[in-house]
Amino acid sequence: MRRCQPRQTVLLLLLLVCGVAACEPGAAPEGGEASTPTEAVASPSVVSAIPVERPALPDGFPVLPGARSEAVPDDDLSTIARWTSDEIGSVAYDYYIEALPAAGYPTMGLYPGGAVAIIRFEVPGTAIWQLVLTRDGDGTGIEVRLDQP
Amino acid sequence: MGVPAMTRLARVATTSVLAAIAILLVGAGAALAIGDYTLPYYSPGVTLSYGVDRDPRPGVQLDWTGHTWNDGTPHWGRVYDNHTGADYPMALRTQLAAAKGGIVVDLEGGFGTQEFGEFGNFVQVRHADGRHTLYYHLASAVDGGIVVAVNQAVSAGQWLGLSGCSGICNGPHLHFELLVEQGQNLVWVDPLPARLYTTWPPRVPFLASYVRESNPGTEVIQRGRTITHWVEFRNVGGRTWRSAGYPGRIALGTWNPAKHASRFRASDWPSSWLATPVDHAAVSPNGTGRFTFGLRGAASPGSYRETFNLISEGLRWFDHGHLGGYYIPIVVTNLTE
Repeated sequence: MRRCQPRQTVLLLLLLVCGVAACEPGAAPEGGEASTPTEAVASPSVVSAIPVERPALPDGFPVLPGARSEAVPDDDLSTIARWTSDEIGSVAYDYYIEALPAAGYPTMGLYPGGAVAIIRFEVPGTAIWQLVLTRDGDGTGIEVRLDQP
Repeated sequence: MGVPAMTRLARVATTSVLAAIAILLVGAGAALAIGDYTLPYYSPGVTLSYGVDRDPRPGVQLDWTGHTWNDGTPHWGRVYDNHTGADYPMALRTQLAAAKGGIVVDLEGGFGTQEFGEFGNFVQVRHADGRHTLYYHLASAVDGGIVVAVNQAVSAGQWLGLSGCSGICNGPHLHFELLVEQGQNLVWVDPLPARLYTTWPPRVPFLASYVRESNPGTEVIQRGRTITHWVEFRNVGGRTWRSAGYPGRIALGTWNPAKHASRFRASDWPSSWLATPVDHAAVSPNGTGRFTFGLRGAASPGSYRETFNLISEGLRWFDHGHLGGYYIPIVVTNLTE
């Protein structure tokens, strides 16, 4: 779900109204959040070190049927592979939550959402990677990347 | 019908700069819950998939912890760009709960449970404090996805419907929004940093854990006699337990099967299956509630077990597994034994 564009003037007015003295610690106005929660619902993992070389996608890695391979930018070493698919909705998500474990990649966390979904999975003996699914026009973008928060 | 609530309502994103300033000023201080909302489902195992993006700029994301991401890419457990609610992953057809009491003001149930498209099924509830909650991507009404009606009053924790994956959905989940009325508009707020829940971290409405009881072993009851038994449970849910009021009174009833007439009913039981309401007028979250009731040896001599569960009357049974599968072993003896 996506929201409307912001009203920059409103933001600026609020910026002026909420001076340093007016922002009471620990009691933010509604929608103007004050303090950072200290107890995370989910804690991000440690950021994977950016490799000198892009890891290769293992042979036999599952690819959604009909997905088209896309080039990965040379300077983006954290992205391992990329595809696009004409499939929409949960098709790619539903495929990968079954195909990854079946191909020997145990899933570490499932994060479905509206326009995006992330599946964290283990490359046995190597690392944790992520499969990132995003709405891409009338289809779905599929990306394998190194694990990151 | 067919138009999701968020497109029917103008939205104004006014919070991000305020939030950024406040976070800089206050830092990571302890957060206290100040509102009276609970999580919009019953299972305590569900965790956040993505929260609200409080920065309206494309590619810049301010997550519920106060962290800003400038990369535009999704971050699990935190945020994705321009997201207006909280996503909670759950299996299709998971039961959803009203985060607070209110009136159902809008709903849609005509889309398929997994029908992809710009619009999906939802329930929108208006609360007395002027806020609204929105439960989105629900299952189809014909699939049991909507169990309430427009203009229906719902209690806090009441079952609203079933989760699904209708609309723009990439894996089954609940999209939960909290909005506040400002004139003719509804403005979204992030309930996590705004601390609008009854507890922190936020909790599901109804949950309890076993603490102790008067006799953790076998109760031996002479036939025709009555003994007194008590058991204590900790309130690990988000709602205060109350001993009076319907719906919502917290009571101990027979279980497995639910509401069966007990052969151990004593004269102090309100009904054949209801042993007792909670002893205290109110038990806040984290508090411990005692349930005291009689057990009468009316059955034939022998060994029995009577299983009990907590209920928010008229709303919801508790998770019996979280109570440790609570039951009382009972031996009924003849008077002369």
